[in-house]
Amino acid sequence: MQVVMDVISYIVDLGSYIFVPMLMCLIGLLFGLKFPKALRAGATVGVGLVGVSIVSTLTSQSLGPVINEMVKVLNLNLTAIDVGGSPAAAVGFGGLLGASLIVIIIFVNIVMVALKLTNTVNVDVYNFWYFAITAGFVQILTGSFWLAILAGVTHAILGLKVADIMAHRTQQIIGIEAIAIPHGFAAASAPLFLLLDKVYDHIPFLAHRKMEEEYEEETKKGIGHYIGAIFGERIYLGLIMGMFFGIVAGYDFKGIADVTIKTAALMELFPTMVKMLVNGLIPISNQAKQFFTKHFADRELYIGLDSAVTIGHPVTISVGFLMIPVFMIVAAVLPGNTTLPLGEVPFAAFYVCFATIVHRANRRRTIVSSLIFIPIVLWISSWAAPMFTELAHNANLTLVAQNQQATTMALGNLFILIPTLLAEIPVVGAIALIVIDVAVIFGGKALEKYYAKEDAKFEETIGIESL
Amino acid sequence: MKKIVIACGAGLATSSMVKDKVEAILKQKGIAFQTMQCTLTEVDNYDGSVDLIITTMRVRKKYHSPVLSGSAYLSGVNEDEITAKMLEILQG
Repeated sequence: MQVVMDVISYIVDLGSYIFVPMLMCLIGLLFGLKFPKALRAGATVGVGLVGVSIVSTLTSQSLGPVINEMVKVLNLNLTAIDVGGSPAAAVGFGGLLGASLIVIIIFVNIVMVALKLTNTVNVDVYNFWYFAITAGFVQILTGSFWLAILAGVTHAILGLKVADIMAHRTQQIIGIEAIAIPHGFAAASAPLFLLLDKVYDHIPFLAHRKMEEEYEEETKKGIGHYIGAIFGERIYLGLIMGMFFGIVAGYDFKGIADVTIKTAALMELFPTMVKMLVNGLIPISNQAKQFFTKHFADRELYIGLDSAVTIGHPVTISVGFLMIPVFMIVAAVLPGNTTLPLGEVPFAAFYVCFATIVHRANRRRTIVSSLIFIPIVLWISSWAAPMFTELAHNANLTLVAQNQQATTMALGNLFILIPTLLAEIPVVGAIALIVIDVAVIFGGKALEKYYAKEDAKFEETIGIESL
Repeated sequence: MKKIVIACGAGLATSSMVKDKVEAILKQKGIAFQTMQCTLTEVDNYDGSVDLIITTMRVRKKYHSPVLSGSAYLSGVNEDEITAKMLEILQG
C-alpha cells in the first residue's frame, strides 16, 4: 500500500500539467477512446493548463500590483480579485480530485439513472470543475481525499436533482427539447429563486400577467443595451477597467497604457487557453453521452447541459446587462465583501439565467431576485477566496500578487458552500453529506411532483411565460 | 469558402462542442469553411458578413445572416434535422 501511495505522490509532485494529461489520457481509454485520440485529448488538456499558467503571470505581475494601489487609494477592502471562471476551471482540473471526479460522478450518474433516481444525465464534463473546487476546499479544510470526493459528488447530485425538478420549466421557457441544467452554478442558484418565487406570489406588484402576444425583440433600446454593448464585450471591459485601475493608482501615461492593454489581454487570453481544456474534454463527454443513449434507449432522459444554452432569452440578456453596474456598486459598499468583480463581469447573464426560468420570464421578479442574489454571490466568493488561492497555488498557478487573494464570482455558489460547511463538521461530516444526498434524492421526487402540478396549473391559466 | 460564426454564452464551452460537430460534418461533405467562435454579444460584429450564425441557445433577436440553433448538437436530439437545415443554407 505504502508503495502505491509513494508512486501516486511522486507522480502528483511532477506538476499538474504533467500528471493531469496522463490521467485524462487514461480516462479517455477507460471511456473507450482509441489510444491516439485519448493521447490527443489528454495532451490538449495539458496544453490548456500550461497556457493558463503562462497567462496567469499577467495577473500576478501586472494586474495584482495596480489593484493593490487602487484599493489603497480608494480605501476599499477589496483584496480578492475575481479572476473569472476560466482560470478557476484550470484550478479545478489542475489536481488529482478533478480527474477522479470525472470518472466517479459519471459512474454515480449511471447508477442513479439505472435506479430511476434521476432522469438527468450530466455530460457537461467541462463544468465538472465546479464539483472539483468543492472537493478541493474540503481537502484543504479536512485533509481527507475521500471526504473531498464525497463533497464533490454531493455538489453534483444537488445539481442533478435541481435539473430534474426544473427540467419541464427549463424546456418550456428556453424552448429546447429534452434538456435540463445540472450546471454547478446555475442549478445552485435555483433553490433561493424558488423560495423567493413563493414570496412574490403574495406581492401584487410582482404578480404574473398574461402575455399579450409572442415576445419579439424590443425595438426601443434601453439603458441595458448600451451597458451591454460596452461592458458585455470582455475586451472593452478589460480596456476600461485597466485604464481605471491605472488612473486611480496614480500611474504615469506609460504605466496606465501598460495596465490597460494587459487587463484586456487577460480578459481575452484566459478563455482562449481554457478553450484547449474544453477541447480536450469533448471526446470524453461524447463517449459518456453515447453510453447513456445506448444503454438507456427506452428511457426519456434529459441531457444535462451548460447554462450557456439558456442565456439567449431576452429577459436574461437585458437583466444581465442591467446587473453589470450593480455588481460593481454592491461590491464597493457591501460590508464583509472582499471580492473585486472583474473576470466574470461580462458574463452577468449567467448569474440571472436561472431566475428567468424559475420566475417564468417575469421581468420584475427576475430583477428583484438578481438584486437579492448578488450580495450573496459576493459574500460566498469572499469566503472562498483564501481556499481558492491555496488551491490555485497547489495546482502551480499563481494568479495574484503578494498579500492578495484570488477568487471568482462563479464560486459564489450555495452548492459549494453547503457541502463544504457540512464536511467540516468534525467526525460526522461524511454522515452529514450522505444524509443530504439521500434527502435531496428522495425529497427531490416530491418536489418534482409539486412543481409538475404548479406548472400544469400555470400553463392552463396564464400560459408558458409571464410578463 | 463559407464563413460560419458559432456563438455561446462565454464563447468557450458549448460553442467548442458545437464547432467540433459542425466541422466534422462540413469536412465530410467537402464544404470549404472557416469557423469563428464568440459570445452571443459579439455576434453583432459578424452579422451580415457571414454565411451562417449558429448559436448554442435559442435566440429571439433578428439577424441579417441566417441563424440556426445548434443546441441539437449538444443534446443529440434531432441532430439530423439541424444538419439538413445547415447544409441547405450553405449549399442552397
